[in-house]
Amino acid sequence: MEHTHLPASLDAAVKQVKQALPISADLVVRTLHKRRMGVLFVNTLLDTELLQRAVLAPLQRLGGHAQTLQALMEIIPIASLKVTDNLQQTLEFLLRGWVYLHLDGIAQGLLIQTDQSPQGVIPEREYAVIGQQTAFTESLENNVALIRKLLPDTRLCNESLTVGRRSKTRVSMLYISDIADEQNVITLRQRMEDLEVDSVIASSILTQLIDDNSWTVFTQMLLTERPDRVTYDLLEGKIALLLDGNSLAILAPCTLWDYMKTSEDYNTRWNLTMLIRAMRIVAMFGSTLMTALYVAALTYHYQVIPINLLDSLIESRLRVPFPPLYEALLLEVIIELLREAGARLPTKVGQTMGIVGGIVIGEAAVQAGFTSNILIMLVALGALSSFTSPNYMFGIVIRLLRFPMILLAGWLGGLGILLGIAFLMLHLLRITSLGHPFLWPMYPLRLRNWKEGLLRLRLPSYAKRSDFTRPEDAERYSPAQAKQIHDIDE
Amino acid sequence: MNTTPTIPKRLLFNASMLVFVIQANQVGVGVLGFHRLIAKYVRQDAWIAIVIAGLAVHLILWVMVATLRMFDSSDLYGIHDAVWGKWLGRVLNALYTAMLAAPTLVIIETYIEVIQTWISVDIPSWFVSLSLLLLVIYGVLGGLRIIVGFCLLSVLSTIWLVLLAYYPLQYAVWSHLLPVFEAKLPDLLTAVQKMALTLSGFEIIYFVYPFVRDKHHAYRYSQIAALITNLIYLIAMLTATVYFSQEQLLHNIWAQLSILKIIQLPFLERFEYLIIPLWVLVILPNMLLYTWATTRGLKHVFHLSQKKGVYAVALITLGLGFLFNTRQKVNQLNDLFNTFYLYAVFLYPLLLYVVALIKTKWQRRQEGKQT
Repeated sequence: MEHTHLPASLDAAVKQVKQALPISADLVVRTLHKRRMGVLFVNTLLDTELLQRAVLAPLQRLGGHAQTLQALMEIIPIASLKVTDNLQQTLEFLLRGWVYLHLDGIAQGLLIQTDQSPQGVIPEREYAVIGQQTAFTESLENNVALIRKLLPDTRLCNESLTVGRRSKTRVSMLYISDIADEQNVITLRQRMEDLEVDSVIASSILTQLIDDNSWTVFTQMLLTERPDRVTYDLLEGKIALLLDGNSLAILAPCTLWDYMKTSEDYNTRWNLTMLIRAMRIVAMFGSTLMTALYVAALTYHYQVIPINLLDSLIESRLRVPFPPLYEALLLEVIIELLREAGARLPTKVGQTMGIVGGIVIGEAAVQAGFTSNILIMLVALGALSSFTSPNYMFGIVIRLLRFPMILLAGWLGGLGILLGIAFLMLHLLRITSLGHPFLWPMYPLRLRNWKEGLLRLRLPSYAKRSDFTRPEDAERYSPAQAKQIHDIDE
Repeated sequence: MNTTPTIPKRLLFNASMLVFVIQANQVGVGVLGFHRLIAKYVRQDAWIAIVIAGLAVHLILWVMVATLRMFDSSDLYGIHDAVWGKWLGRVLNALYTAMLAAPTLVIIETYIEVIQTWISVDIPSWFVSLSLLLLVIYGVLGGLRIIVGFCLLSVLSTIWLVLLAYYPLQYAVWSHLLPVFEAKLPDLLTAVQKMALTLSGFEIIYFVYPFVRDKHHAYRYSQIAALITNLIYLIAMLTATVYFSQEQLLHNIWAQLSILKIIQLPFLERFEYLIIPLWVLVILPNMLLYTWATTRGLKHVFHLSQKKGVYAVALITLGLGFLFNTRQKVNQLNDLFNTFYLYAVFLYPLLLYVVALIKTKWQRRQEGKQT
């Protein structure tokens, strides 16, 4: 580790720390006794009350007499104190939430433990079995601290911005300066500074205000409540936005495949994850097409169904008075109603809803000859698949896309479905997120980077960072070491 | 000689994408029913005709890229201006533009015919044509990079269909290929000529070349694309020849679809009902690329903005679609453009190359004299 000595002068010391943490809105420098004494700290990480009571108050009572560090140690009622002359150590402890005390003229400083663990709540929207059990709270300082705790990196920048004429919402823009693309940071900052709105209450509103294409159903910035997800993505070169009063962080730029990833994917072994992720991606495509395929096959192309299967299909549809299109639309709407009703209810009542919807309506609909059993199964399967989406917003998109697909299928059969797919392909190709193509690495084709979204490989293959944002620090760890092969018995 | 303004860097694409662009543009509706047209003249030797035609494609691609290389960063329109002079160049450009607008119509009409024959007569042709053209408009408005992306996705999502040859090959009668080399040379050449429209599509290199980032790799990748296409056609022809008897083959208008009929999976039968809708993804790249090239031409010759150009081309194609409403007319259209393409895509590039070569040599000598 590098070893840089701290300078004696207070101004020089402050300058050095500020240089090492260039853009940190939460770094505070407080001077006392006519700039004889300086107190430095990262205010998101520490217990402010403790700082005032146990550090600032005794120091102020001193009245400006010349002191040595040893004398100061006598009067500060805190257990852990450390004398240091090392800049790197100072920075490390600053980012852990310690206070750094510097006396002008002494080439040493005092580190005082005042950190507090940031508060987290249990994740509700993006649950993980093995992963971290912490989600963002609704306090901005606390959320920044949650990330700083996972990533005490001097290169982690924290820019402070304000949006909304009336709401004056504070926004923290976090990125790692030598991994994130400078151009993205400028674009994002510019977009927020150019915003002329009276209020920004929620982070999802902010994404709608600053994304590239406001017509599309696809969200181009990812919302997440998990600090570990934000940390992974910061390390991939993305930029995170945290809003005061909001428990969802915004991540940009994003690709389609980011919506199919969970932070659990990193925790599980690579081969298991690969299988699960592949299943998830197939489920999401399947969910958009399943009911539409049923409608197309039964309305226009019954020939494609083998005779045995056709038999059971006809049997189950025997008493259904509607054409497949209406039958499918009816069921899809019922499922959507159930979901919407369930989403607004407290958990206990929600369970009852599930029983009423699933068993009563489902069973009764078949008994009454409203729909066929097979369609109920397909629609339920489609709904189930859409819930495998790790991202709530993306789940809604998938469920919404089913309706035009079903209509097209009922109208033109298989041709309609393919026209829909072709449109979706063109549409996804045209979407960008902060100017980055949404379908990357599929297009522009970067086979080397498929491991970032579509696949999940062994950890050694992640030695090099993806070139999504052309990072300055292009390596996670040494690729040479990752590739090293040992012979037997060595 | 640089005759077109330089293209901004963000619009460029990698040379490797040419594999997908050219291959996607070469394979279209033709592959569904080209077998009969070739077999009519050379019977079991049809595959030889395809090999010869394929070799011709490789040769012409070489000539095309060589021509393009003489003119730094210019497309065919710019080259025409430089080689033939202002007026003749302009006339040729107008002709070429009109010719590039035609495939969209031919493709749509042929595809509608397939749909109405195989799936349902009730699907209104104007509606299919309208929805395809709307997709074309949407794609072309996104620019060439989007179109290239669509070519990539299209190839990735349909190339696996080649593997379906496994099913008919289980019933192959390989003696159908014998005797080899029975066809006479004139017949063979006629058959090769009939492949013109089916194999065409590689001429798109004339127009996308300025947009390629690493131009020195362009030649390699376009040849790879042509090779893949040739293999696809060869596999298709061989499968059809060994699967059908000669009489059957000669009476099968859409041989490829008839072959696919025999595929049976536990949950799926009659594969052609899956393939025909899927062909939307195969024909869209052709329509997108040709329409795009047409709008470039309209811009070059008539200074019409590309945005207006797309709408104009789509509207005209939609209108002309109403005229070609019978099988005979569609057939005539196909035959007419086959001849057109034979001259414009297979023979004209040779002439252009020779003239361009002489002209550049002559110009260089003039410059040498002056200094």
